Amino acid sequence: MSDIKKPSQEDFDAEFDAFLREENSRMAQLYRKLPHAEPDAALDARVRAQARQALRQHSEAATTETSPRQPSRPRRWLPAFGAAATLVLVAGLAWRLAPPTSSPRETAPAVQVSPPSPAQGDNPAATPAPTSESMQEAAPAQAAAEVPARTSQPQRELRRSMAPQAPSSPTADAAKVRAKSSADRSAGAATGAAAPTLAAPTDAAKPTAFPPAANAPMVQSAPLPPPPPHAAPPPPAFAAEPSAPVAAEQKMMKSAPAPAATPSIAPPEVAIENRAEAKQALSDNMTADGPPPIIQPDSSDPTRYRWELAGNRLPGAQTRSGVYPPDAPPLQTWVAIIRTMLRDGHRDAAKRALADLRAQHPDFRVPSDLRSLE
Amino acid sequence: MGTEKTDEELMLAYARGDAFAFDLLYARCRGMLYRFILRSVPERAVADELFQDTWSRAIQARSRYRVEAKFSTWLLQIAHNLIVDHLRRQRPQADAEETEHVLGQLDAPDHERPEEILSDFEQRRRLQLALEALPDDQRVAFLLRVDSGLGLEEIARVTGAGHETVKSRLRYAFAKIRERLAE
Repeated sequence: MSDIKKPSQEDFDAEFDAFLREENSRMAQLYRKLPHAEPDAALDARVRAQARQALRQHSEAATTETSPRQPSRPRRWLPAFGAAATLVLVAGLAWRLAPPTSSPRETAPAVQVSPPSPAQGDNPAATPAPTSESMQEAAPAQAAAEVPARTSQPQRELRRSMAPQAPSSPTADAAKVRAKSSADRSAGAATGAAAPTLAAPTDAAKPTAFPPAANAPMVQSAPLPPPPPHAAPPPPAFAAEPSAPVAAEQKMMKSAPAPAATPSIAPPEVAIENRAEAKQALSDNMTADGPPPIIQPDSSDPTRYRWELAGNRLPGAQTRSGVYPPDAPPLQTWVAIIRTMLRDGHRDAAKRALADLRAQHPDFRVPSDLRSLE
Repeated sequence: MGTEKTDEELMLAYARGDAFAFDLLYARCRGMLYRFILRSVPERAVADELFQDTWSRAIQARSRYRVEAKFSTWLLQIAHNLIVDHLRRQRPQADAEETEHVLGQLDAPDHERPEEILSDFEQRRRLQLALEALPDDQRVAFLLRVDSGLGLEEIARVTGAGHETVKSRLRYAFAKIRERLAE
């Protein structure tokens, strides 16, 4: 057996060496004759699809990696937006919670509340409480009308001193400045045109001719007659005195009652009422001091009354007199004339006189005995 | 032909995103890999699964691929690892003694009929049976040599065995198959 094995072992080694060296050995040839199974098409498709899917996922991952800050972009402006929104919110709250200050909305009603009398409709010059617009519009005409004012100089001074009480809001002050400049521009023309304007027989020539004096501060630069030596000094410029209307009134009317002294914290309606009371008290004081006025029917017309004030009723004026209409007397004298008219049976004349008075003194509180004339 | 890219270049191109390179590479290696797997595991379904798993591992590891060996060697190494894992789960590894016993049983009938001239079909059948009867390490080494054309060093790389170990396995496998065919 050993003899048989040896040649066979040598053959084996030779074949094995050929098997290791050669690609086309006998064993390899026999192996290639075996059926060569291959993966089916479905398996091929799955593998290829898997390979492409891997590439797509890689590209998507690369895209997300190259732009990692894109999702955080909204987060960058979010804090800024939040800060801005917070600022707006805080500003809004502060504006809403801020203590109320004097504003045109608060002070304007004090001017507008005064109800115009029926006589004002046909008497534009008798606009009671001048608003900024009315002041601006009426300034040239007022400047022209003041020159030939038929009232006495003390009356003009009194009206001038009471004038600043109505327009007091910042917008009104600004309007005053504009009106003042407008009045300045028209002053030259008013000087020359005053005579023909006032010569015209308009309503302004009637006893209501002095209402423009209420806006005297607006036309300070207009050529006014020289004030009497003891006349009150002209009011300071509005720009230098932006105080509340009542404060200005209080400054002008030193004898005003206490309730009118602190209306700044009162509602507008209360302030208006207090201001009217203050004016009334001022008029009463001005007319109560001294001897009563002398009122007599005029010989030419029984519905006209000659009035005369003697003594120290007004500073700088020893004696004042006139015939109403058209000479407008002081307030209390005016009321006395109306009462005299009623007593003498001149009811229509009394009505007209009261309407005149209301036009000149819009804040005047009509006494109970005269309310039947309204 | 001179401009034809090697398997390694195609794999590198695919790693850079060239899907067409993968198609070429797959066309080259699909049969060899599939036969290698199918010779190692009897069930075709399992072979299909292992085949797909092998390519999946290669696709996932494309970015880590380095040209340190032939691509086929790297691919067969992946398949070999999967086959070994599968066989370990299916049945225990047959030792050399068991292999000799199986080969002895296969050789017995042939020795009993030495005069029988086997037809070509019968030789292929015997070769098929001899391959299935080989221990896994010997069969893998034989398949890597016969089907994939790998040398000892490459088979050693794929299987992770030493050079002499691979040579010994091939020697055992060659002897058993030769005797099965010659007897």
